[in-house]
Amino acid sequence: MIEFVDVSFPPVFKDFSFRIEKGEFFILVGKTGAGKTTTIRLASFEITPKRGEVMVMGMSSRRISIQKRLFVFKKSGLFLDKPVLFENYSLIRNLLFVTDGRDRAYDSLKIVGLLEKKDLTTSRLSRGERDLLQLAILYAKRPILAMLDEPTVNLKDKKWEIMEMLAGLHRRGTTILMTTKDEEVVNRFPNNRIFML
Amino acid sequence: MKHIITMFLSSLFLFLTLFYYWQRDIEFQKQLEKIEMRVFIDSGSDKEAAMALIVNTEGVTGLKEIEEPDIIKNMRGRSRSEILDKVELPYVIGVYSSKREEGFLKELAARLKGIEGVIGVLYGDKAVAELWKEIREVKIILITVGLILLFFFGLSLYLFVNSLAVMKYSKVFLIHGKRFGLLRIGVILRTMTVSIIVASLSVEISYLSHRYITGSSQSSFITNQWVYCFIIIMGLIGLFVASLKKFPVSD
Repeated sequence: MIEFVDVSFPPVFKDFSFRIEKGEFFILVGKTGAGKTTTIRLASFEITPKRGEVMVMGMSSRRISIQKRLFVFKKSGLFLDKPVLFENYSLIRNLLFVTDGRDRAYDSLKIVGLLEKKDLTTSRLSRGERDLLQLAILYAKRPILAMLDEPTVNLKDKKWEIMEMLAGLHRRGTTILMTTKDEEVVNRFPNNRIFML
Repeated sequence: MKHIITMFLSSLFLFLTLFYYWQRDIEFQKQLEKIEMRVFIDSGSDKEAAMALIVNTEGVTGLKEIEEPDIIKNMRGRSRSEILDKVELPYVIGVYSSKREEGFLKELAARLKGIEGVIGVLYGDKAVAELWKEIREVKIILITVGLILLFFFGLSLYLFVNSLAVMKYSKVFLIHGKRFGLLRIGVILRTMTVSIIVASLSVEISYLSHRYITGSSQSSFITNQWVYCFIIIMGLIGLFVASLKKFPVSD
């Protein structure tokens, strides 16, 4: 599903390789500045490596085009450090942008605990709530691949619910690439494949 | 909002420039229509033959025989001097041409001078040269002003497009793998609509100001054809500027 082959992106990392198979729950662990966000940005083709190659769903980071990115993003879900949302839309409209199923949209909001705020304008949400909305969108989208950049960092009190939600998504067949620096999360899910940066 | 105000001001001044040009053009046309060439044919030569050659000269659209001016007739009647009666004045022919360009008139005068029996051609060459010089100067100044205003209009339109909230949404479209077609059409339609509204408002305000200043609705305002052309062109500029925008928009 994702393969990094001798990827160099100075000064963050050099000749970095790993492979995530379809259906895996892959946790990338590292301290601040270790390259967790860079890995997500490389895997989402936002940036390209200086050397080496990144393969995502059979698409190569070489000669990256907008069509390639659209292809990958259509089938994947992203959780980013800076949420990308329709700020002037309500929460439910944000969800209905990725799914036609109204019930699924409501369910997703319910799982993250934002159902009561479904008609609120997104710009009025707090930082933590915006992260929850990102997770709800990701859950409603039911992607083949989910890439999450430290999803629990702003939601410490809800991290186990989030991890359960991701585990549920994983059980449904979504391949997950998640970054974290939280050792508790790593220790609680020993069955997942863990990679230390 | 500030971009719309800049856009409106550029559009308003652009239309006023166009209106001024249109008025000056009418004035120039009137002055050019007054240009008449006088051809003097020797009284001793065959007038009819000379006129036939003149009328067949390229660019000549009409001839008019000019009678002896009344003042000379009166002088002949009152004068007891036989000298005046003996004076043979040349025949005077008014020559009309469809083209009134300075160079063409000069060439035509030279060709007419070459016809047998023609002893002189007058058309106020210095006045014509002055008039054409003024036309050229006015054109250059107004085109320069127009292009500067058009640049400001285009620039404010470009900034307006960038400031549209939907532009920020292109990244949302991207991360969900949605194509930008709908977003692009929305941006184009909005930009075109704003351009057309701003252009129409400029015309309306110019018209009302013109009526207020001249105090009459009957006074000549720029023709509808020019107004529609102006509004359509502004709309097309909107279309062009919005189409230049590439998606997704980077931060």
